[in-house]
Amino acid sequence: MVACQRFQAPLAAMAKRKNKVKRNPKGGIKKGDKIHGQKKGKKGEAAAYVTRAQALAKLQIPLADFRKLCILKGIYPRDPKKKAHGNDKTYYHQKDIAFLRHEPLLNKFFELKTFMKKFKRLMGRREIKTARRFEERKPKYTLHHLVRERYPSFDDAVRDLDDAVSMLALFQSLSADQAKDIPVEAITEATQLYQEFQLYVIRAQALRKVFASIKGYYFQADILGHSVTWLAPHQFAQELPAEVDFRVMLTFLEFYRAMVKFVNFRLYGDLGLTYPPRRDAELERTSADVAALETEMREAGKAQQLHSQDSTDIATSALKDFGDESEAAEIQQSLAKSGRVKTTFRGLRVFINREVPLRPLYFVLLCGGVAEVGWERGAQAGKSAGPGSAFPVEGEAITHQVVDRPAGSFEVRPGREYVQPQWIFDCFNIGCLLPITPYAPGRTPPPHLSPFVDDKAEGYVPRQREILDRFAAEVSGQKDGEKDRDEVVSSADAGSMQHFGEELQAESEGLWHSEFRKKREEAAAANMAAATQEDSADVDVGLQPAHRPSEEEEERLRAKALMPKKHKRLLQRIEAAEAKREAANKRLKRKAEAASS
Amino acid sequence: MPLAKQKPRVRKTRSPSASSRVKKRRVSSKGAAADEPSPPPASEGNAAPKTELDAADLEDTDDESESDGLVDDGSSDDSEDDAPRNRIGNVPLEWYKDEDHVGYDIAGEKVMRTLSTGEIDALLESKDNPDAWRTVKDHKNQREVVLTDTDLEIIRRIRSRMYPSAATDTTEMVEFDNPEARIHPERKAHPPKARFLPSKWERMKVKRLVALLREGKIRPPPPPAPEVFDLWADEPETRRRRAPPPLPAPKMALPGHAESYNPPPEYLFTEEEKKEWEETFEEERAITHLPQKYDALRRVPGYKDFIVERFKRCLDLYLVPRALKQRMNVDPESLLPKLPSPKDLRPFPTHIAVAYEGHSGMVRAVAVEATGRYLATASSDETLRIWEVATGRPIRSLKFSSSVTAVAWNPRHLLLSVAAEENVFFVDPGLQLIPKDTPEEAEELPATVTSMLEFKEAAGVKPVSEGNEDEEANEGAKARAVRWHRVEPDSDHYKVGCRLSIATDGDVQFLVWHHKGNYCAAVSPKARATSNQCIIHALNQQKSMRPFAKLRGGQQVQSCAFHPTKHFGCLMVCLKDQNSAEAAHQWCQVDLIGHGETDTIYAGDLKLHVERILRREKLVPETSFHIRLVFNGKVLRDDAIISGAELLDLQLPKMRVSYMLPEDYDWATADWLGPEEPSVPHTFRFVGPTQADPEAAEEYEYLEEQDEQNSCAETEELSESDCESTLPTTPIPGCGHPTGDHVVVGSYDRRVVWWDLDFAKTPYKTLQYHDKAVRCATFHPGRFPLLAACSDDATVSILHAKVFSDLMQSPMIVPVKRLRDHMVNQGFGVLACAWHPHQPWLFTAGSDGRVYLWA
Repeated sequence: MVACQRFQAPLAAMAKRKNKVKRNPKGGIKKGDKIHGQKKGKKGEAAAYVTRAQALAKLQIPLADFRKLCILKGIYPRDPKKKAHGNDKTYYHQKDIAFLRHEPLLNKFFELKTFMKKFKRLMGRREIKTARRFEERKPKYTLHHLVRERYPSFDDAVRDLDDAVSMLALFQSLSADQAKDIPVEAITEATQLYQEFQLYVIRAQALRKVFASIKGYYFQADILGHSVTWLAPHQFAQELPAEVDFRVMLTFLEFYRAMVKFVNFRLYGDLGLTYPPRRDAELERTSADVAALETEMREAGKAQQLHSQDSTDIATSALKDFGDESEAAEIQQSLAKSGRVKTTFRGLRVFINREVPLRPLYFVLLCGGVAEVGWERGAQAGKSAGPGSAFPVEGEAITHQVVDRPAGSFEVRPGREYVQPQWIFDCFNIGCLLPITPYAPGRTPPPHLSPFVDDKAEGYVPRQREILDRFAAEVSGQKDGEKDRDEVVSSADAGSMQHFGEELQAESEGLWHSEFRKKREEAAAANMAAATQEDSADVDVGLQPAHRPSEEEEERLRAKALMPKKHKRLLQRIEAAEAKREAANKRLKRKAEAASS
Repeated sequence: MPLAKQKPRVRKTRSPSASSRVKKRRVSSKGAAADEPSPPPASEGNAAPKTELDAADLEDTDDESESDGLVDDGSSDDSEDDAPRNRIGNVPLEWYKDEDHVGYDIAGEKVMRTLSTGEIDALLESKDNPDAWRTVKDHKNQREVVLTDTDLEIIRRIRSRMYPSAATDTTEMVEFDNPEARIHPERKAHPPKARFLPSKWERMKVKRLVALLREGKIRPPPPPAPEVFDLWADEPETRRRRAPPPLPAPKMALPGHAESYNPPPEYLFTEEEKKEWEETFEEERAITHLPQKYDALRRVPGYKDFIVERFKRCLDLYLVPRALKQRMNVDPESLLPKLPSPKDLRPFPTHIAVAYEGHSGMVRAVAVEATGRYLATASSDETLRIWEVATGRPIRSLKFSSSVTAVAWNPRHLLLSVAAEENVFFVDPGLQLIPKDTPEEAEELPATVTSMLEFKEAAGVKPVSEGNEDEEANEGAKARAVRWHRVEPDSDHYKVGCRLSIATDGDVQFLVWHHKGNYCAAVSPKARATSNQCIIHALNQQKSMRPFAKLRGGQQVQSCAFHPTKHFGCLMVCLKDQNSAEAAHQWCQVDLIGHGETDTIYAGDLKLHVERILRREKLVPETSFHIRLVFNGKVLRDDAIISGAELLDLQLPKMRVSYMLPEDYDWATADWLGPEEPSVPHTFRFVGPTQADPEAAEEYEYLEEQDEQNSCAETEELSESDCESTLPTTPIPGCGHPTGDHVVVGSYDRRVVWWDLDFAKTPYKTLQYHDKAVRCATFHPGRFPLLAACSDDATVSILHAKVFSDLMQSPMIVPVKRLRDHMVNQGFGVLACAWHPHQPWLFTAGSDGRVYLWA
């Protein structure tokens, strides 16, 4: 042991001496100090990432400008593995900052800053005329180079349209506000671009899904093979919340305006349309929202029939191109689905009542290939047709009228169907016309399901989904049957349609009657309470036999005991997620049963 | 032309006269205003014009309006009656306030004060005179003026902010200056010549500009760039971007059914769910809003957080660090290792062959006799029962005064060591060990047992009978714990076979015999003196020793075991550390009685060292040694038997050497516990490096026999809560590898831990197979590669644990069976298990009072 110490002593001393050399007399490590022969922060991750404060110092701009630049240029913080300056900092890649440094916009910002200084001085001196003249020379900047830089190909731009269109949809519903510095031009351009985009979607027949949620209306369009989903708010005046920094929102909007403008141009070009589309000045004056692009929309309505024929051609040609049977079948199926969606409302003449939100419905109807639409909104006193409306409410040709009023509070005309707006959405999502009875005015319509959920993958299929799927299968089966007799769907017997009707009837009789429903809800609550009590029943403490798992479980347990820790944890995570989902599904199922019993 | 003529006329007539008149009017009105109290400006009623206007100028305007167009330039506006009577000039009238006159007229006569100023007069006047309302008093000239209709009209117009005269044409342009009409130059001097010549400088400038234009240095401004164009018309640049790849932001989650304005009823929250949702922190909520149901679309209100949510999305887009995370898409089945089928690994126990019934309390310990004929079970119903293994017939039921906690059979002789709480008894059960066909031995051995259990008086130690309480009390706890007692023949314990007893310090929880049958180690973790936690009793000598005089703070001995083959007697000890919270596996080595020595020595020291050992052990140099040479943890030489002389000649640079005595060294003859040496000989060496102390760990790199220590508090009753303590260690016996290099430990933290002692000091494998604390883990002592672990979840797991003789091949551990017939009682499950020495049979004892033989 002594020997051991003797042996170790010089080492320790050496180590100590070495430490002494490294340390500063004042303690700590100074900036230039070398550790393991290397200077700190010169190599590796520490050098590749800079904190935000460092970036600001390097770029010599205030935080507000930096933020604006980052938003416009699409630069975001990164998450380095080693955070050299602490976990609480925001790190940017050093290359990103280098790009910012060479951004022409940066110089424009400096120019703007000096301009504003001079301009303010002039205004301060009350040299208004000079200031006005000077203002004409205000530096201007464009953003198209940034759009191109961020989206090198058009596909990239389309892929990123979600947020852009959602933002436009939000701002087109707002009004200019001086206190929040929301300029009128931003609002008008947002409105214009959003309408143009909608017009493209109509003309390209690209809308696939629509969903009326409590937040607003979700739309999903299929543009050049990419799903673009956006959310448009309900048409109400929005209160501008105090916690929202509108400078950030407006910077985003600025970029999105530039982006969508170029995207729209290209999309219109692809369809062979001129951009910007013509606007009916007269209609724009009378009702700015909908009918401004009415003439174009009319044309779109005519064009869509041609277009849908094209799509069937595509389907057949695709079949020829793809050798793989299953793939071809898949393509055919998806094409059939989209084709069905496009022609959902073909031949209908729909009148939309005043109380119904016009914009989403009008948009969906046109995307569904409706023949003509009339509406009441914006109508002058004593008239029942709004500006641009195809016909007044008295029109003879109307097949459906969308009403959202209690039954009996409106004039019922013979020869047309009265439906609630949800009927339009549900029909569009499923791609065929649903029976109108459950959607009659004054009734609570059947549940409105999100078309974005893959219920089978989720593990819980709501009853309404089953009903709708069955109905869709029947309808498509009938259609297929017309085409070729070989593929007769087994469930497409004559009685099934009636069966569906009965089911709906039964459902509606019981479910939509308010008193009965209340009673049933009470019963359901009681059921649920009982169920939870059963769950939480205490176990007795006496002698218990050990839990006997099945053979398979036993096998699994044996294998699990020998798993490496890494795999075991991974499996635990997978199983926990699975269990959570299953528990949620179970709860839904239980509640559904309790509600229906 | 008539217009042109008329214009100057109007101007002439109007401008000078009007201006002069205005001046006059002002003067006079000032004078008038000075006399009268000035009422608020013309706002109410008829009285206003009276005070506001002076009669004089009203007459002027009247006159003018009437005579518009007739009066020529030269005529004065002032007629005789309108001329002011008072000619005092522009002096305040109040200078005359004490006089009877107010001034003088043009003839120098006094203008007498004739106008009455009294209120009563004014009232009377207003009654009498119908024109009183339009009568204005001119105090300066001392006369009354009656306003005409024209005057009143003018007043009305002025008050309504119009031109006084209705004839004024407001649209008519009034020309003030007409240079073209001028015929005379303004100045007399001739204009200079330069005015009539083209400018030289201008010519030069134009010339220069033309030159620049021709050179192309001045260009017309470019046409404005188109506002929108096909941005993606050309191919994207393929230049490599020397930067990390762009990470597109994830898209927003798509809405589910719960977000519908009219969701299916099962998606609506119940009261509890709602409460839970409200109590959840905002960031952790699964959905951002409460699901709501509206029976019509018209009832859906605006979503108030719409802008906020979009804003948050914006913040996410530019403020949140982005990183590429690989999403694991793993089939969970592929993670499970492929195990060989249990069918191929037979034999192993699968079902209950014999149930030993009779215990009424928890069975705490089970022990099998070395030949496998008898089974002893210790229960908390204060009995020790001995059974015939094959039939399940109870042979003996030994009643003790307290609950029996541990039992162990002597491997050589048919006697038992039993622990009943604090006491350790050596019991002669009075059984026939050897079958009847070898009668001579059968007679011998019981006699040996009897003789072995005879009480021997220790030299120099006064015999202490059981009843001598005072003397015992005087003894220290340490001494008492190693004091052997004879069990008096008339006591109850003698009747059940107890012959010798040792009253130790705390509850004895574990007993184990050395395979030669002389030493029995007893573990009592709760002993008051730390040195008493592990005591080795030597039966032949009837003496005890405490290997651990000191333990590091808070450490407790939980269990111990003798090395199965090395007969020099290494003791493996399980320790637990109460201080450290985590289960730090710590290691210690105990070289029994100083015959092994481990140290780092240098070549020069080696000789000295060996000599020292030989001298100390009183061995002759000719004794052959088992030597193991280890260099930096690598075994250089092992199992070589060399003589002491050879050892001395061994030239080694720097090594750790452990010396061991040869296998045939006779323990009984060794003078290892002489009278001069107390019960704790100095030759016990505790060479325990701990991980908590890294320096020490460095010092003792080489550890031949290692033991494990876990941490946690342990309660006396072994309650369920005290996971993470250690329970019995069982070294692997010679199943295919005679060295006993493997140790398995069951622990209260639900794990079975396996050490390969040659491999590392960290566990080779940690199996977490049980749901609750593992009470016991044991290897099969015979030729079967089996391992059993019993647990508080009332199951026993059987593992196929094959150790290969090839050192390069790691042991194969496969769980093959789970035995599940025991019950959980008060949170305890299976408390003990033991293997049959020759057969693949397992004995288990449960807290439900049942003992089973599994086959």
